[in-house]
Amino acid sequence: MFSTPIANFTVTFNAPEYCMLALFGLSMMIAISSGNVLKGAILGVAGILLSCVGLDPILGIKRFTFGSIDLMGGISFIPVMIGMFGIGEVLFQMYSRRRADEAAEMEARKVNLKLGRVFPTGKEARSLIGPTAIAAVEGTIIGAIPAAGGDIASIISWGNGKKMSKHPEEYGNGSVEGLAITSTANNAVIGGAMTTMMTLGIPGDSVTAILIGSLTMYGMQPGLKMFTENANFTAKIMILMLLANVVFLIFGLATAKISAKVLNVTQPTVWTAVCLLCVVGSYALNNSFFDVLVMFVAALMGFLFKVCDFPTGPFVLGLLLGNMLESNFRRALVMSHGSLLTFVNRPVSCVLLALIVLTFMWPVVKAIIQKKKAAQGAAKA
Amino acid sequence: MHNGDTLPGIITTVFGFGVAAYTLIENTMRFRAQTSDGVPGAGFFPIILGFILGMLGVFLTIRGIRAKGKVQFFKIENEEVRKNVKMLLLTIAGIIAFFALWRITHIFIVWALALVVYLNFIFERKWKFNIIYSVVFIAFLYVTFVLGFSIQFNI
Repeated sequence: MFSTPIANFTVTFNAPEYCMLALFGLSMMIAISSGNVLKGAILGVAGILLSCVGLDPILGIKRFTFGSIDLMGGISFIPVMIGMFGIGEVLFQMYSRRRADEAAEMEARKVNLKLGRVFPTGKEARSLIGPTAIAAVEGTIIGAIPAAGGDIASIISWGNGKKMSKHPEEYGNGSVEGLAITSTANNAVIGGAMTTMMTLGIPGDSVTAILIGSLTMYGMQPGLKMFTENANFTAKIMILMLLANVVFLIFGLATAKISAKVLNVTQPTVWTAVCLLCVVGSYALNNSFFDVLVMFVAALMGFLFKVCDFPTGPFVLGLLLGNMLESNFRRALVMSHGSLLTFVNRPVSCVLLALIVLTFMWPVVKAIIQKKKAAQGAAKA
Repeated sequence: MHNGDTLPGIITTVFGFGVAAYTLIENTMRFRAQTSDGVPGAGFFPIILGFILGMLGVFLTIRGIRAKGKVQFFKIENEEVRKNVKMLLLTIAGIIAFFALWRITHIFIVWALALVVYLNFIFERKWKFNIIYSVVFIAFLYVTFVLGFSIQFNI
């Protein structure tokens, strides 16, 4: 519904707008790195810096290739992502393993996973229509905001649902309504994230980031061209997305009891499988051993980032958006003969710049407000 | 000194300023292109980003020093963590050995099977489970990726 108007609007976009859009996506990801804005910014910048490896997008000059032919093509973000979120996560889980907690959790699972009725009753289903419809709208809107993924949508919708519910006391104690709302918001995010991804080329979450990589591999560029040159493919994706949700519902309900048993699998069993699948997955991208090495280095980095409490999201997004950011920034300066005012003189670019500044300023403003409130509270007491 | 954000901050600072310095001394990557006025060169972004990264690293270092060791990463506080670190290092060593053997011999499936057996061994799985799991999993990989998706792995 919204994709075509947004795509038509992007016709007016030029290098300054695309540059600001990339920066906006990155700033959102850094800003939501809860309590770690500085570390998020460091990894965001490091990700963009890594995207500079390879041939310069404007002049074609080799950068940081150190004579390696493999590095001339740049560092693809998919092996990096596989490594960081695959083996990197496995290594971190291994490092932070607590055997006593693990055993207690396994015992608890044996009790909790004895599922009873899976299908909701007619009365329950009717009572859930309103709250889930609201959660679906909230999830779609939140999903359209770059970097705000399913977790944020679920938390916000859960909070709103609790405020509006007739039984708020059940929330957090196994409420069916709470579960339905969070699941709906989590799934609705995909629609919103896909809209931003298809029209602007900015990933709404990590899933759409992978999708951008896949589209690029097949020679498609997210943006207006998806609705002109690849209109049929875009329509197919939209229809498939709708169908997938229906299949997901049927399949999910039908296999709920069996799927719950999968959770009984111990961590080491999963670790072994993940390690091998990451190797195979990164190799399968281009039948290249170099991609496997990139994946493994990213895994070690991802592990160190997690141990040192660095949020990994901005790094991957920086790597993904770095090229778009640099090429459009430099193109904008070429067009304006080196004048930075081009980013302020154009309305859309100026609005995006203001949003970026606001995004970074908000945590500071919030801290000042909280300090003032605390001081006022102390004075009253 | 090495606790908390201090060491990551120092590494970030050295890396950031190092990249900027390397770009500045590298002849091919110039800050300004030699085409026309105001056009940034190939070194424009790396230099700016290197400096930003270096500065952010300085801030992180200061934050780490100010925290005075309240936050600690890589703390081996008990026997369980020591065991975890040992398992972690053995896993990394195993994967590196697998890569080396794969690269040298160009054989994948056999070394992948050996890696799964090795990982299950260091994860303290029973031998019966280890062998069944390894064979089934590698067979699954072979059928799915080699036969199904035609990924070229040598046996």
